[in-house]
Amino acid sequence: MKKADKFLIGTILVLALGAYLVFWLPAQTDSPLWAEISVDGQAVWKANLTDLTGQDLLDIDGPLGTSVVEVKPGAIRMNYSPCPDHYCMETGWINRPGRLIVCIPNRIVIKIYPNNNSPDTISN
Amino acid sequence: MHSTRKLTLIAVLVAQAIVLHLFEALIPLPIPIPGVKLGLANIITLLALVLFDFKSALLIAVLRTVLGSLLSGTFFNIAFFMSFAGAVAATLLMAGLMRLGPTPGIDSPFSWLGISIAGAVAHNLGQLAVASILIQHIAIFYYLPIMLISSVPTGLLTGLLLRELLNYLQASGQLDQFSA
Repeated sequence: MKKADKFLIGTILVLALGAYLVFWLPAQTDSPLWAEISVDGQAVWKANLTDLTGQDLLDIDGPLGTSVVEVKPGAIRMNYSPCPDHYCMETGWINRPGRLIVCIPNRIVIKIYPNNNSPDTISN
Repeated sequence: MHSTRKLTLIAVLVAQAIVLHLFEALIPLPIPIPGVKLGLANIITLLALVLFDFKSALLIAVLRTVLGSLLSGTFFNIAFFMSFAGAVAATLLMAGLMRLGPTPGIDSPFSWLGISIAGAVAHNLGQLAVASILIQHIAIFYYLPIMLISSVPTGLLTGLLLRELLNYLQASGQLDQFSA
């Protein structure tokens, strides 16, 4: 392995750490959990996850059809999705700030974020 | 190289790249993160850059993604556009890095390992860029740290495989036949 290779690997690791600090760290706080569901980048549903009282199923329409998102106090998951590979369903329940469920085929993103840091401040 | 011979070799390399592409989907990874792959087909792109030139390598990469997606039934869906962008980005960056140095194509400051890792990074960034355009949400970049870190071991592995392959071709005298 040459010097330039080691420099390249070092740069990649530094970039990865930088990306981690920018995208993941601000979300690691103890404030109430909010969840947002967006289709094609447009928020269609938002709620305080911590304050939910019971379990609920939400129908979210995407380009492929209707996905079913399940919420319960403090957690959210993709219950059913019409996409071909079901990565979003395999993600399971998410319950921590910064966690994410992404369904690229049906253009749906489910995100948990702390109250003081709306995802819109990053998106815009 | 004779053009018929080159055409045949390119066809063989495309076929091998497609097989590797389909084969690696069968290997279970210890951490099942969507988008993280070994990138074995990248070996063929690099081999094409060594044996032929940038144009042929790009042709092989493009044919591999188009034909590979036809075979796996993902043609013109999102997975196709992601792997297409990834393959093109990787070919561009690896060809660029190989041309560095005083004698372009011969003494790049990067070894095969470095070039292969850079290719893995470019492949992942190309995929993420397309995904973020399609999904219109910056949240997709939450995958960025994972994709960047995973590029290092996967790029190292494909780089090592390529190095061994080139050593073998060199030792058995087959590499000289290509330059003839």
